[in-house]
Amino acid sequence: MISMYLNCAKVWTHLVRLVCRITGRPQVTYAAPPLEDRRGPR
Amino acid sequence: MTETAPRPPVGDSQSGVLLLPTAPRRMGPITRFLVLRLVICILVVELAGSLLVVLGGTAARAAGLSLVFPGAGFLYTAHPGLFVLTWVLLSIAVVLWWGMSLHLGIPGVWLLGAAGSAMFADAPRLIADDGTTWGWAVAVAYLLAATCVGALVWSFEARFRRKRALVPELNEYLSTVRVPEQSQELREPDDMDAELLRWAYELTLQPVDRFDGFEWGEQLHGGTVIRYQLNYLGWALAPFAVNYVPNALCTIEQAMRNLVLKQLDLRVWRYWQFLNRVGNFDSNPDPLVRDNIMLSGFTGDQINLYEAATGSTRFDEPGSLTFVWEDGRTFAYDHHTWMETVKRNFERSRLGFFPCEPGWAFAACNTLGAQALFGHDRLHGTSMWSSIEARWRETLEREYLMPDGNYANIRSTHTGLSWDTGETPGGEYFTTGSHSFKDVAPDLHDRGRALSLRGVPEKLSMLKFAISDGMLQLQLPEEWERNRVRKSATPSWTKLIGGARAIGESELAEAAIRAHDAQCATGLGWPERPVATGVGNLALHMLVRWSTPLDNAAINTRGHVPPKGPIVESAPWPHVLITLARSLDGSSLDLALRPGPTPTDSPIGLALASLLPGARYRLVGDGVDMQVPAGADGRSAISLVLDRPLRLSLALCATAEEATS
Repeated sequence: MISMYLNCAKVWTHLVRLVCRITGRPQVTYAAPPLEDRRGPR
Repeated sequence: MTETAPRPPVGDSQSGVLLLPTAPRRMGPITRFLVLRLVICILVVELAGSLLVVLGGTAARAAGLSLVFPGAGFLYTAHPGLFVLTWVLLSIAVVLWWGMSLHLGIPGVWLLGAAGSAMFADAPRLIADDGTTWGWAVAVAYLLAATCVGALVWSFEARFRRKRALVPELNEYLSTVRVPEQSQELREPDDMDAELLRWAYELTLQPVDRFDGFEWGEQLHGGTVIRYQLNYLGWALAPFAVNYVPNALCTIEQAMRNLVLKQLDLRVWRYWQFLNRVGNFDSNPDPLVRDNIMLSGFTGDQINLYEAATGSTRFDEPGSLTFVWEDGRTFAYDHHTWMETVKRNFERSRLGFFPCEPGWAFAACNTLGAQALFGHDRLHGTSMWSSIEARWRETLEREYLMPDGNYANIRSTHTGLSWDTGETPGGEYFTTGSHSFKDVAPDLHDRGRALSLRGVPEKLSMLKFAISDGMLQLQLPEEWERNRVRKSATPSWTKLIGGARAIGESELAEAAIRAHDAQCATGLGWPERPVATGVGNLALHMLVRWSTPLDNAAINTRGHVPPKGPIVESAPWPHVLITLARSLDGSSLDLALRPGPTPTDSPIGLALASLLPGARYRLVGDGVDMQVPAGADGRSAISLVLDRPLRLSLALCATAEEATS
């Protein structure tokens, strides 16, 4: 195991937060996104 | 199992616990191959860069220097800002490599830096005259490259040697250790257990396509991934079903079933096509056929536990686990074909462990996959686990084991690299999976348990002095949850409760449960949470809280055992919440009922079954006292006004012969 000196999990969370801020979407919600209609099975 | 899997020595161990290898290797054979391949690739890049540096003009030399060390060509062309930008992008590329399998991110930034250096060779400089080149950048580029490689090699070697030096001491400990037995007390559900169960039922018994109260956010890696919330809740309800309500599975079976069915919702598994495209260049959205063990292994284990806890075989039916993609394409599975797919992924993996996110094979997820195959074998008499067990163990012990008994959390299946990604403390653990190897490798469980509990009994015994009135008189500090949305003390309490149980301190565990409830309970109900923590951590808390006397490893090993004694066949949810229904002697029934989230003033009816035909029973407790005659079919029905919690006991008064004599 090497040392990367980079906490990927923490940076990832900050990146997600940044993207959410830019796109105006909340980082966490308690309502699922809508499920659009799908075409029938094929 | 064949004897090809490496077995650590046990001969000198008086305790019977496996010892650690005394001459550990730095890398297993497959990891070594992958790392060597990576080193050769880097050497080729260094050679190409050096040729450009030696033979080229200004632009070629700048490009060459950026190949020798990413972005160094920008230093040569006096653009230090672009050098810094290259390294910012490179750092992000490392995170995206791990986070979304962007395997081309690092080489892409590296090559982009080289191309950019050449393009900017004649561009205006901000802090120097146009056309300026900094000759010292050549030496600095090689120095930085050597320093970087040296730091990585040093970090690997220093960690390896530090751990290897511990082996004699650890083996001495392992050979003499007497690890306390895990406590297996039978708990009586309290008010908080009831609140937690009520919340879990309301969350899971809403329509299958509704997710009110779940935490939604990005679905790749963070603490808002919905599939893990479903897994954890399924894992938590399994021990509750077995330990608390084995004789009244009507409501909890439906709750656990819904948790599996919700996994089939497109919003839960849609993430896979994105990852598959980015990481495997494969646009197949089928979430099981390739990689993705974080869905197939985790949920496979969840399905086993559903079947083992409830006895329901509904997911054994063909097509009962069908994913429907955006365009209507269907991927039809059932319990058996699901597991066969997991097994095929194991079999075709070069490393022996197969990836979660493309290119990343986690020891934890592959242990979950092993648990899934093991559990299916137990339930259905198949031999999926036994067919891959030897190779699985070989991978774990040769490729992932470190000298001190820890296992690396993650490995790149393309480069062989592992590092602390920040997901688990130190990026390593002594045991993993949700059963800590207890079912799939009991000997490794014992060793890992001994290592992880080293010094713990002494530390935790100090806490017993802080118990007063059955409760630990302390508060634990709140820590950030994985998604860093809120802080919570619940995960720390959960660890303390699990640790106390692990060393047989059931009194301490109970005192910690009460202290947790006092510190963290919110008094809120669904769709809010009754505890101040996220859905995932709350589910993990319930899992640990309810995992006694049987935990999920025991349930996975045991398979389904039908309940003995009277059973409650049906109870009208949401009018009634059954928090206890078990028979300790096989003839009576301990029953605890509470008003459900939609209480009613009218009497509620409970259908009883598995009574002795024609026998007479008596239901008593909390002001209730009624005769319950069983029909010739062993069934009966009772009617109760449930205006308060009732703790009841149904006991046999007279058998059919005694009743008629």
